[in-house]
Amino acid sequence: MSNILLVIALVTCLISLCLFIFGNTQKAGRREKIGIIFYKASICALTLLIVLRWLKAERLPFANMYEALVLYAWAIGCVYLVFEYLYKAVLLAPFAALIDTFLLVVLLFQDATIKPLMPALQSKWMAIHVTTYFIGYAAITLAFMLSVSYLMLSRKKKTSLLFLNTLDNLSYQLIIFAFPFLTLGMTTGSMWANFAWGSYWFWDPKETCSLITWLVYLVYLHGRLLLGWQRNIANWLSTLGFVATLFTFIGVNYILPGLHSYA
Amino acid sequence: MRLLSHIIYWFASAKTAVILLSVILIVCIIGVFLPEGIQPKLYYSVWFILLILSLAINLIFCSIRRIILKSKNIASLLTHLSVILILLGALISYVWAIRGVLELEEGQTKDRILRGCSFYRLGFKVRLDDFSIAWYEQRPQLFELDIRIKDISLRKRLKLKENQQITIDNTNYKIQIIDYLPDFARSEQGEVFSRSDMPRNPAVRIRITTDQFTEERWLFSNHPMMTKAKDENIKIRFSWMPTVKEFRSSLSILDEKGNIIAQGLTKVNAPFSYKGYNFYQSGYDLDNPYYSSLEVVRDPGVKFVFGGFILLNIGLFILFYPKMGLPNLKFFQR
Repeated sequence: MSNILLVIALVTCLISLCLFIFGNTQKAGRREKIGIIFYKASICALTLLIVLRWLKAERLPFANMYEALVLYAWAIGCVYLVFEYLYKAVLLAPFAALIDTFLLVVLLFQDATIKPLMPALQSKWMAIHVTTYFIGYAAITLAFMLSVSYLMLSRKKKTSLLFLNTLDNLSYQLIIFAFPFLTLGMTTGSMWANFAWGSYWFWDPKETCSLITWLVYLVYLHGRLLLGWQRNIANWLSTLGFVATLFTFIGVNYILPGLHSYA
Repeated sequence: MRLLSHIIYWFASAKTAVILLSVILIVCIIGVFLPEGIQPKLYYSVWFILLILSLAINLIFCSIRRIILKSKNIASLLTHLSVILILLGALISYVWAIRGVLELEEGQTKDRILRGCSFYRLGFKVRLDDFSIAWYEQRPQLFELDIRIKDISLRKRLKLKENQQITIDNTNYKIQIIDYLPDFARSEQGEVFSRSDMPRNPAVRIRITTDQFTEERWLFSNHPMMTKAKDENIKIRFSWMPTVKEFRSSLSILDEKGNIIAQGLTKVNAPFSYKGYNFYQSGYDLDNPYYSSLEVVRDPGVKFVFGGFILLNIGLFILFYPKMGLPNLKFFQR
């Protein structure tokens, strides 16, 4: 069942992505509206996938790479829905569909077997630590995509200033949205570590990397709010922050040993 | 005097904050790629601590400036004060925290913990009354066997139940699992038995049947090389990794005369506390089911750090989600 849902999510996401690609990027037309409907269908399939897995595993399905990637794809959808509902930020839809398509393709090759939880992971802290982190990660992923688009388009003379400003500001708002979630994820992780292992900070590679990510966005926010950083420097920092996030999320598991080597 | 005011001005500026944060950021990036053994030397070195201290001074001066200027942004002030609280807690932990290792066997009593290279007296005695490990499964539901047949270069993974017989495709090999022992051992007389119910040394006995002969052999998931095979043409590996579900220690706290003054249970994610000391279940030894290793910590800084965390999160959510709990995106609406 979960495989069928995964394929449904991928196909609907791919259709929406195609509709966006062949549509007009700067103005929402009919194709984009249908694209958004397909993208929402994809999010629904992912939601169902998570719920079914939750029921089957009898625990929150956030424990290994497969489950983390499903959650990541789902969180990107959720962040998109929040921004669409409140601010009509439909501009985000193609970016969200692109990254979700990529994630869903990767998921097809991941091991989907449900494995029991090791003792350290059996905790109520997991729910809040993991979900808040992934909401944060999802928002900064979208912010990164907008920042890269900004950096690429700003070199072309044809691009309208209004569109560039929109990319820059929306990326900024996504980071503002993400930052409290990143902080909540990091601090709850730290509190959990104290309950499980007796220290709130070990300077473990995963912890240090999450601190690095947090510091990049902290510098970004201070620079932007107090020193008036905008445009190139801000968007380069946003890109750097995403690289740090990617390294924290995936790089550490495969390259550096440590407490988080299981997830 | 002028120099002093310059220094104060420098420390109270946002630019300094950004510079200090960037330097800390770069040090952390370097730190991540250093070998594991060297990392603590970096993070606990004097100059790194001085760097963090400069950040703390910067935070204090910026906060004072905000108060003097009567800034109305209370949430922003709260976040900065909470970071000061976290750093203060970290300092208290660094100076006053006591942490050590306590290794006990069932029935054993100890009054000191191993702290670095020396022992630290707790002021009371700790006795391990009981230690237990629970696994998710004592035996696999399906036995996974990796089969390699040399002469036809065949590799295959079989999943079978106990007593179920399977014929390997295109061969006359039939495989059957006839026995399973969770904790395989051999007595001096050569008899095999299970030392316990715990899957510490899982082993399966399989029967290989062909038209010419029948062979039985033991396969060990922990020791694949231990198998003795008559027919070298067929190699079989049994792979199974039992997952530990829980391990827990029952502890008694005793006074000098040996009277019990407190009792409690500790397991991963649920430490036992006594007089500010927390006992964390940290390890076990599969070769010795009566052994438990505990991390004992008394850290007066934790309260400050946790308080700081809570205030930081509250402050950030108030600061960044001013209306309806979400950021102000007015400019984006068309």
